[in-house]
Amino acid sequence: MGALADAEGIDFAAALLERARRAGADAAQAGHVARERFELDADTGGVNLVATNHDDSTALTVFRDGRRGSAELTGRDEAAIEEAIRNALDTAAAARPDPANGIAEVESAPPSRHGPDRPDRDAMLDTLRQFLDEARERFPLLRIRHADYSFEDRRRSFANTAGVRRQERRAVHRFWTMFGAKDGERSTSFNYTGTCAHEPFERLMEAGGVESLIVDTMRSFDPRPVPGKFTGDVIVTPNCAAYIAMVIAGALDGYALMGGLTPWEEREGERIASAGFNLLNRPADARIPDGSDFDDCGVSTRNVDVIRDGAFETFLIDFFCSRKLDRPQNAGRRNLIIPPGERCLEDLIRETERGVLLARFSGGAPNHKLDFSGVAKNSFYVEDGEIRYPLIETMVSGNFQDLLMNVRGVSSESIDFGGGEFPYLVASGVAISRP
Amino acid sequence: MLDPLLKHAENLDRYTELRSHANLQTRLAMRKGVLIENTRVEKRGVSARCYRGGAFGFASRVDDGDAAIEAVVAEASANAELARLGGTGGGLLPEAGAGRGEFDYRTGRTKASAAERMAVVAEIDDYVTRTYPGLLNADIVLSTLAIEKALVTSEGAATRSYVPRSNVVLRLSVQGNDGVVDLHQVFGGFGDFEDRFDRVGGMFEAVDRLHEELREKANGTYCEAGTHDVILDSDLAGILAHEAIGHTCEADLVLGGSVAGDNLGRQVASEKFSLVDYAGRGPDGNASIAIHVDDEGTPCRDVTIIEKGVLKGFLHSKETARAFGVEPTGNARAYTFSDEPLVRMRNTAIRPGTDRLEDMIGAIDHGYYLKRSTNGQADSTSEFMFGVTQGYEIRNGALGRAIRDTTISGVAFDMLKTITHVSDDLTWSRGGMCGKKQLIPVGMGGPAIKCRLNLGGR
Repeated sequence: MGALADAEGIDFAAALLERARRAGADAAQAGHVARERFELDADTGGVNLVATNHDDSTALTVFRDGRRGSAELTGRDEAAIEEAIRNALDTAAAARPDPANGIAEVESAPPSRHGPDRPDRDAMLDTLRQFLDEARERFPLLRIRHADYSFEDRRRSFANTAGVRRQERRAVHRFWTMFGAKDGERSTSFNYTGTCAHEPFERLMEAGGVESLIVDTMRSFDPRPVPGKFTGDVIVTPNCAAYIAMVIAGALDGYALMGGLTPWEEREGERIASAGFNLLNRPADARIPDGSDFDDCGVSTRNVDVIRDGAFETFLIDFFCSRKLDRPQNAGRRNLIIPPGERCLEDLIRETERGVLLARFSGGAPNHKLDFSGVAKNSFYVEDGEIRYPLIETMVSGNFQDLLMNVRGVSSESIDFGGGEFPYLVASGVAISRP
Repeated sequence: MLDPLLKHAENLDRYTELRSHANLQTRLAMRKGVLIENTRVEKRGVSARCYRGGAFGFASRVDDGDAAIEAVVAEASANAELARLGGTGGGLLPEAGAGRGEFDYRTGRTKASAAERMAVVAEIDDYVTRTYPGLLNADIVLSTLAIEKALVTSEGAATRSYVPRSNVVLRLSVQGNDGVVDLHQVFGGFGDFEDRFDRVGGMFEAVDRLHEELREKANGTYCEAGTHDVILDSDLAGILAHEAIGHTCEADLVLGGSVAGDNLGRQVASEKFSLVDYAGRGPDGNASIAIHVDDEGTPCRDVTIIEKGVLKGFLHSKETARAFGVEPTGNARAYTFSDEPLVRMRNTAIRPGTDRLEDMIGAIDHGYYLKRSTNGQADSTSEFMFGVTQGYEIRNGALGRAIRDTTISGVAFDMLKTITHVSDDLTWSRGGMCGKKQLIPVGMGGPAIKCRLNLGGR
């Protein structure tokens, strides 16, 4: 057992497959993740926590008579390994058979490597302290609730009984912060952002658009509702655009297609957005530090255009959906991008007659038609081409299908969140109201 | 689980927590009869957290043997020293008694097999497919989560707990005349699978009701946007308690600028309104989670947040209690072995009043009765929002047409003053996970309340 306890991830995964086969599996796959994490947490007062995590987890999936079952475990304890194999086989035995179950028979690939070997802990501490010092000096009313700066080194290994072997080591620095402002008894809404990069951040105030969000927060005391109910424009910030992209991608998912729950069934090739709008999935793009070289079935990830120049190109189909729906696999990991346009934000605001600069949408989960209704948070009223005042108790309502068709501008500015990149979007026809 | 920690307890230097922690989960998900998830997950490990000069150090490992325990304690101590360099200093953490005892809620029945768990999902799927052939889709998700922890601290706490929860979420979808319409219900609740799902057939009456309510919704109307008199049924009142008020009164968020900080001792709600974050299993022994000692070793006590409309107190960890100069309340909780404790809610509920639901409905000429919710969010300003997936018009004191999905919003410390009625019952949520850096199971409960707030419409 000592050999398994100390084995490399890929050898451990392969050893689990062998044991699963011996225990009765027709086929099996195992994904192992070893994760080393170093985290610095701070608030306005200073650093309040340093944390280190050493994780070692494995997901084993077995197939028997067309049935599938899985078990996940942490560590290398011999009893836990045996129990995980038994659990995976038991769950498989209980499952319904499905011809879509199976392992991927694809080419193996050499191990890949992205990002640095280890963090410079002292430098990270200095960078975080500089961020706190700068925030305190420039924004004395700012209350930073969390400023978390971490380094994560993930080593993923995959093996299946068809002989597929994949290994990826990916290290990133992450920054996530949540803040608000307070002046006497006046409080602003909180806001937050986060990003990641392979290399350490030189200046955290520039990471993930945090500086502009803080500046907007400092302008957000004394908010008011919009003057009345009207139909107008929304200028969606990159943070909010990331949320919209996630909703759209969810409705274009293979599982939505399987359930008959997508509003875009049989619409491939048709225009579903305005011509200037693109939605891309880029898990294999070297510029996406939080991407992936292979998915949970060991299949190489692919960059695909989901919506190109407003036309719907393809659903996001993973390995199981591919077999279930008899469609080509093109996704298994998701890193969404809305590419920037050619207009600057200033021009887009100047051309807005009446609307809302929508920085955060606090709303109910959209239904399957993609109707949305929620509160505009950290947002501003825009009239006659100018940002007028911060908002409270302002509701925005509409439909994301309509919103895509009504995108009338995409900014040249965008923000890199590490797992995706998003610009400002301007769309018309949104109902904006106050109590 | 506790014994391996006890032998290390006497060696813990200065302030140190040592926790062994396992999350045991099963998850089966079926969509339209297709099994898309079928897994058992066991995540276990050990962690230590040390406090040195105003800052914490934390370390975790997946092993829980002696060597791993010694390693996490040494590493957490070194991390605390590094944190201290970047901190601003601070005094000792307040002592709050050392929590002791074993709190084990595992089933006494024979553990169910994978086949028995699958049979529950298959039986529900067979029933809805056979009974309602017109359904567009049925999603059935069975999820169980048991959290087993042992904790020792340098202050003498020594405790172990096993807290299970088991749910089935059933979501039915039909094709309406203007698109897909769906509705979901959560079954189960506190307890192991064996205690919650011993008789699947008993669920079918509720499944039939869910389908009838879905049919009503598909033929329903959109709300009139604007401010209305509404009744929030217990499901929504519980989310209100959690999102709109509970988060605002978490002491770390108060330090972060929440408006609650300025309102302590002030009237923030109608005198009919009282809100408590309950320890243990709540006042009726039926709360959604169980927590007797928190993850800092503090014995948990009930926290009255609002008493007859007056804001009375906040939820504290040792760190926030030190900042406020009060006693810790036992609200420091961690979700997995690799998570540090944060200030979290436990069983947060509005206290029942004396009104009857029928009388509350009868008191509204033109408004809405809102029954089921999806997600909710709150803000440091106390502005809140919830999604509503089911409800009815109220016209002239009687229920009218069903409504489609909508959103409700308001500013809690304004809206709470509009409460005129509180019903005489208390219902706890069956599920409920809260996200705040980490996920964690929470309990939400309440009676129905009548108030005035904003609805989204078309």
